[in-house]
Amino acid sequence: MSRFDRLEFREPEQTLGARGQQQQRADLRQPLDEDFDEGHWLRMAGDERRRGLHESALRYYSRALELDKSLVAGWVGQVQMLIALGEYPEAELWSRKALELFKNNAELLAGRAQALCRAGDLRAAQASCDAAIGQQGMFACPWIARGELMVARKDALDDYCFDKAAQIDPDWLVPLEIGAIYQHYGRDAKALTRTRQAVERAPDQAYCWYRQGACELALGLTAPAERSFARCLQLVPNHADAHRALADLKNNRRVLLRFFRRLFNWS
Amino acid sequence: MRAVGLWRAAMRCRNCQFQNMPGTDLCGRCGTSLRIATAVIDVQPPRAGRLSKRIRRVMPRRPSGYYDARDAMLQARDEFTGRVVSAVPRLPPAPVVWRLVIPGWSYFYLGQRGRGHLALWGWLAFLLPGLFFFGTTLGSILLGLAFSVHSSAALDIVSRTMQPAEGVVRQMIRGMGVSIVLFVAVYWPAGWLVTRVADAHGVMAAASPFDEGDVVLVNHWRKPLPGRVVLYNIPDFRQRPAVAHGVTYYNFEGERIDRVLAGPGDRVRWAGGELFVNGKPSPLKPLAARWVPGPMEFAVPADQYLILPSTTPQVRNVQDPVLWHVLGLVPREDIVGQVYLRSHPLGRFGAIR
Repeated sequence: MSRFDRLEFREPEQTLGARGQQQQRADLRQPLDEDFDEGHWLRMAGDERRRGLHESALRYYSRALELDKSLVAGWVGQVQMLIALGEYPEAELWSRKALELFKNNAELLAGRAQALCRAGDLRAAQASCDAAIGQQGMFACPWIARGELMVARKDALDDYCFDKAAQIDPDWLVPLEIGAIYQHYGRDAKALTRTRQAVERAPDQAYCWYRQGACELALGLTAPAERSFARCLQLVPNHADAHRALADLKNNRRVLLRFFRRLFNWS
Repeated sequence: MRAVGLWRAAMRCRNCQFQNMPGTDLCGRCGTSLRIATAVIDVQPPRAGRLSKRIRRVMPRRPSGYYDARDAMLQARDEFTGRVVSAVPRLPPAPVVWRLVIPGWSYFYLGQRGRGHLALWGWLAFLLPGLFFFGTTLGSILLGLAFSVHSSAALDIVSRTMQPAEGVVRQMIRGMGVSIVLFVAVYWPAGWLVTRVADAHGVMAAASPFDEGDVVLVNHWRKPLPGRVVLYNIPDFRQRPAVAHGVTYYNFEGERIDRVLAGPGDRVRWAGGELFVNGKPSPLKPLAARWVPGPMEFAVPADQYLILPSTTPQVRNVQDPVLWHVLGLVPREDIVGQVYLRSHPLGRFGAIR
């Protein structure tokens, strides 16, 4: 037996049937991952982020950076996704590394401020946030970070900062993220107000409806929450989180029903 | 075209959008590297492990007490520092200032014995050898180092007891000010005093019993009594000796070292290598007596001294009474001081009598 007998090679064309050849040609027509540029991966990351899929958005940001490490948006996106995933020490570490590459970048400084704020280090967060706002250019991120700092400090200036951010960037993602910040700090009423603004701007976005439902649920508004989750499922029928939330709602109602039945000895 | 576009893109900073000059590695505005795109950097962010996530789920953030306590401590420190800074005087206290005369003394006064010992012994380690080699290049270097140690210790004391100087320029000005004050107040008077009683004087030309490079110490305050070896300025004189060919002149000027043989009003006779002062034999002799010819007689005028220039090579064995009279009778004001010690080289170290 030759020592090369066990090596695997592509089957010769004559051994493939007609269907196999068609499949092979179709495979060749499909673009490979290597065919896409960094802009494509950035767009993919943005789309995933708008769907609330932060884990895969983070992966796409990393893929974009693999192709071009000078993409500031990629580094900023990574930091923001780490924050969204609740990995604050890692986000702070990563923002520091990115700031070594892009010195005094306002968005990275804002990301670092947010990470520090979530970790509880308000003093360092304040310094980083001040540095972010002091940079040239108008960005929404530093004002969002400033607003979050105000919320964490229970300061009344949070609305002003968040309004400023929304004024700078009219994207619906901004009020949605502001709502998420409020929700993180347990300010569900304000979170709902901001999330409704996002819904008004982009009613065709399932993630907005889902976030609105979550806010309403946190406030005990079960009926509106159910409607919001239902809207979300209308737009994206296989939205797993909305399905789960609706199931929990129904389950809770059944628990209540069972409780009342037992209480009043209903049949 | 695509290459040109890429090249332009590479020159544009991705951080601040500044258009840089071709060939630069760093952005001229924000300092970001223009070669990040091709740099070897890990772009995969760190992720929290499963255990960390579980712990964070149970304890979502670091207990707020940690940062609160830290901020409270920092605030207390800032307040304390502010109080201390506002309470610090603009000048050091007087007992500290006058103790700066000796390095380390102020440290001992302030209770900092370690620093005091370091400053004092460091200063002495340079000062004592510097004084020993006084008048030589090595001695100058060692004395300079001693001054540096002293001024550094003084600056440290001043900085500790005064309000901190903000900025490099102010610190430099303070450092120079301390050094200048120290020099004017301590080293200048001390140097003047030392050079009055122990002025190091280097011998420039070999003239027995001195060699070139010898260093002798001169006391300016000692009177030129007969018998003492003195440093004096030889009277200016131009002599034309008789030589076989051409015209030659000897100019006599500059400083010489020799013994005072007689004072004002004395009558002196030098004959056969013996000195007679006012008719009586005297034990005094010039430093190089064997080169002085005789016989010669002198009447020393008032306010002048007889110093035979035996250490001047040009007059050795010259039988010219006029020359010896002119050069030997030295006015009082031309006598610089008594030479009493040869300090260098160490092989010939000793008193001069």
